[in-house]
Amino acid sequence: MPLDSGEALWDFFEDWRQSNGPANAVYTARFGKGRIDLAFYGSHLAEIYQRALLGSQDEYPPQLLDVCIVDGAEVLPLPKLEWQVRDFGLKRRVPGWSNEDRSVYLLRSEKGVAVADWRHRRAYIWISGHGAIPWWERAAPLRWLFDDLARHSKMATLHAAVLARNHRAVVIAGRGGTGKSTLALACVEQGMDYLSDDYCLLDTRRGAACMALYGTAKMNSASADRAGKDILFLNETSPGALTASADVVAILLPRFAAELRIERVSPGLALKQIAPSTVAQSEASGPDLLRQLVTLANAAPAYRFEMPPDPQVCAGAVLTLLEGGTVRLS
Amino acid sequence: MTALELNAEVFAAETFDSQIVILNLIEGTYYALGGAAVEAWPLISTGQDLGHVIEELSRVHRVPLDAVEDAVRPFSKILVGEGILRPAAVSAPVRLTALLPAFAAPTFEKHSDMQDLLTLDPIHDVDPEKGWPVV
Repeated sequence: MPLDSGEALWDFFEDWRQSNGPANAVYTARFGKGRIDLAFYGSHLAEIYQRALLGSQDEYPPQLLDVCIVDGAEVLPLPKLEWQVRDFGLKRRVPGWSNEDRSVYLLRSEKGVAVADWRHRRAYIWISGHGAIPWWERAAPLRWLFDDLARHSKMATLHAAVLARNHRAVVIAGRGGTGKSTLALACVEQGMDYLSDDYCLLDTRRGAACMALYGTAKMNSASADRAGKDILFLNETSPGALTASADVVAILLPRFAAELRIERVSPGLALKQIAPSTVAQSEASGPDLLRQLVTLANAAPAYRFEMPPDPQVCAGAVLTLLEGGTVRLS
Repeated sequence: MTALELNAEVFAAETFDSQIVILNLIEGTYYALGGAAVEAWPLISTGQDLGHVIEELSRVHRVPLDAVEDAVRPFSKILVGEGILRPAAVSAPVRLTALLPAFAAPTFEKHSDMQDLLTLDPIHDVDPEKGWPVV
C-alpha cells in the first residue's frame, strides 16, 4: 500500500516494529548529558554507524531518542512513497511531510528515508542497503538527525573544531578547507583534549559549553573517492585524548599565512565566521540557532589566527591560549 | 502604503554588535545591516508603512524628509530583492526609537561563499513519477 504522508510513514514503521523480531545489534550513544538508544536491523549496520559515535559515560543517563536503523535490502522493502516535488525543501527535511512534532527526511545519498517523532522521542531510519552509506555519514553519523534532536533538547549542533585543556575550550571556526582538522590533530599531538574537528554540541543555557558528538577526525588523503579525506577513529586509537565537554574560553578564526599572528577581533567577525557554515549545514536552522550562535560569539574573545605551514607551531599557540598564558598578539 | 515583513521561513535576524545580522537559513548567506537600518529594522520588518518609518527617522534625527527617503527606499528595495523582506499587511504605527546620535544612511553587506558546501550534500533530484526512494 503506498504511503502518502508523514503520519502514514510513521505508522508503517511502528506496525513493522511491533511485529518484527529483535534487532541484529543495539548500542547506546552519548548525546550531551543524555543518551540515544540505537537498534540496528541489518547485519552490517552496527559496524558502520556506531564506530564514530561515543558511548555513554554516565550510569543512567536520560534517554533522549530511540532510533531504529533498517537495511532495506536485507530486512524490509519500503512501499512506494507518494510524495510530490512540492513537498521537498532544499535540505534533507521534507517540509510537506513534516510538522513541529514529526520530521521526515529524504536521505539522497543513502537512497533512504527517515521519520522522527519528537513527542514519542523515536526515529526510524530506512536505507536502501548498507553499501549506500557515504563516507561522510560514516565519519559523522546521523548528524542531520542530531541537528533536530539538539534543537528539541534546547541545544544546537555547531560546525567547528574544538580543543580543550582542563575543561577550557577553544572553538576553531571556519568553513571547510581552513585547516581546522589539521590544527585539531596537531593540538591532540601536543596533549590537548579533543572534542571535535567538525561537529559538536553547543549548549548556551549557561554561558557557552561544547560537548563531543563523535570520536572521529579527518585528515587529508590521496584517496580521491573520499574527497581527499581519511577518517581517523580517535575513540579507538587515542581514547585518552577525548573529552566529553568544556566551557568556551576563546574563539579562533583561522586562515593560512606565512607567519603566526594572532589578532583580537570583534564578536561580529566571529559570528560571521561561525554562523554561515553551521546554518547552511543544519537541518534545524532557525531563529533559535542564530540566537545560540550570537550567544557563543558574545561568550568568549575572538581572534584572527594566521597559521604558518607548521601545524605544531600553531598548536603551541593554541595551548598557550588554553593555559591562560600570553600569546604575542600582532 | 508599502509595508514589509521578514520572510521568516527562509531568514532569521538578530541585533548584534550594533548591526542587524540576517542569515539565510537554507544557504547560510550572511547579511549585516548598519547605519539607520539598525533603527528602522524593528519597524520595517514588522509591517510598518515605509512612509511612516521614513517620517519617524526624519523626526528623531531632524533630517529633511527627502534625504531620508532617498536613502531608505532604495535600501528597502534591496532587502526585498534579496528575499529578506516581503509584502505584508500594514500594522498600526509605532514610534521609532533613536539609537544613533545622528542619521546615517543604511548600509548593507552580503557574504555568500557557502554555496560550495552544498555540493558535498547536494540538493536532491526527485522524480515525480517514481516518488523516490523506491526499492
